[in-house]
Amino acid sequence: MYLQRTRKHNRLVRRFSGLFFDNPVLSLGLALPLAISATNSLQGAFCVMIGMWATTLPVMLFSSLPPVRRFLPLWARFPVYVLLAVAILIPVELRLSPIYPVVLNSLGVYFPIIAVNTIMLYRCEHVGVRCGVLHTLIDGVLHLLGFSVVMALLACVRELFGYGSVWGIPVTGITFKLSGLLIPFSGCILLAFLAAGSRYIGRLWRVRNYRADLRDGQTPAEGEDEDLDDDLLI
Amino acid sequence: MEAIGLFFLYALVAIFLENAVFTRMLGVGRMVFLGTPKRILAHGAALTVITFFGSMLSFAANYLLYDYNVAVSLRALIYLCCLTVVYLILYLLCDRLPGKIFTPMKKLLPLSTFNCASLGALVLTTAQQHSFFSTVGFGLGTGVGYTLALLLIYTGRRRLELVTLPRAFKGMPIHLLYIGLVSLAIYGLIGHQLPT
Repeated sequence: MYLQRTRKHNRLVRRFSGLFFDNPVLSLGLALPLAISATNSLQGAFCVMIGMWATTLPVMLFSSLPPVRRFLPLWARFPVYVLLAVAILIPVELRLSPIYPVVLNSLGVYFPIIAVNTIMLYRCEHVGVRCGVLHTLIDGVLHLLGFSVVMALLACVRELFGYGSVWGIPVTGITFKLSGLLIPFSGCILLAFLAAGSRYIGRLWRVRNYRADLRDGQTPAEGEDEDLDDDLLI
Repeated sequence: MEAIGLFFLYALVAIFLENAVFTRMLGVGRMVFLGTPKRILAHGAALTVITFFGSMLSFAANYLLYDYNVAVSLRALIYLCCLTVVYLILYLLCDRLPGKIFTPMKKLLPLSTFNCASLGALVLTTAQQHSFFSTVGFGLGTGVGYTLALLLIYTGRRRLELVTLPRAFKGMPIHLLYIGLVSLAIYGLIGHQLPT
């Protein structure tokens, strides 16, 4: 088949959209306040991840229910999503506060704003109201996994070189501490480099597959029209 | 007179010293990277009105809850209810009032109301237990500061589009880098020092 590797790559991108390709933080620019400011420590990032999983998935599933899609107008959907999210967040905070009291205190305003996170609002309106429950669930899981990976990576780097510890456990061998990494601006700068890196790797992979296909000298078969072929589109 | 002074003082604090975008990275989202000046001004105006009236309602709610040790998330629920009330009133007004200005505002209202900057402003002001005028001033200042920050970022975006950049940095990465560096500059300008 014409451009076989490229088609396979595009199918992989569509299937795992949100995890690495079209990552909600690195590619779509969603939930940036949480990724930038709540990644001072791995424990803080973990609390935020729990809050995100607990609120975003149920609200996305709620948005994909047929009665919601059919009867709730756009102007009413946003307040419903947000109020539902914060109602779920209350027991999550009550459950986490005896286990991580200092961490939740240090998160401050960044824990309650999980209720208005843009991953939830954006995916509810782009996927939830247009697709079925299963598709919305898979989309939500992939996007939240992508978000969690970015949060964990950023938090590890910032805590390791900012405090010299990971999960509060001091790491031997780190002789210097960059206290500037704990301020929000450094989260922004680190995220910028991470976004550029993921874009570079994604493009490298795509171009490598395409060049390998061209080197194999593949041509369209008789009757095959590449313009109408879904596998060549992402 | 003192109340008016406090109002303007906290408004200035919210605009420059405690800017929602550059100090706390609240509201950094798609509008920052995609907005045109017209959309930014409309979004900022809506957010300013919402935080102004929302801070009044949240102050009243906080005053009623003063004697109870209420969890942060439960306070967030109450503040979101205050924001919802303001949103519904504004939506009804935009629906009823004729004109080219109010009809497009209906599309911007949901995003302007339910975002990190507006909820964050309410949580921050009421957590610090200020007086009514300082709370309302901080709410107004947050909206104005957010709008000014977005316009500043737009100016930077326009200049960055004219520069030759590596392909990987075009778009969101370079804009994030720009926001981070401006935030660092403001951090130093305010007089903060890096923790030792």
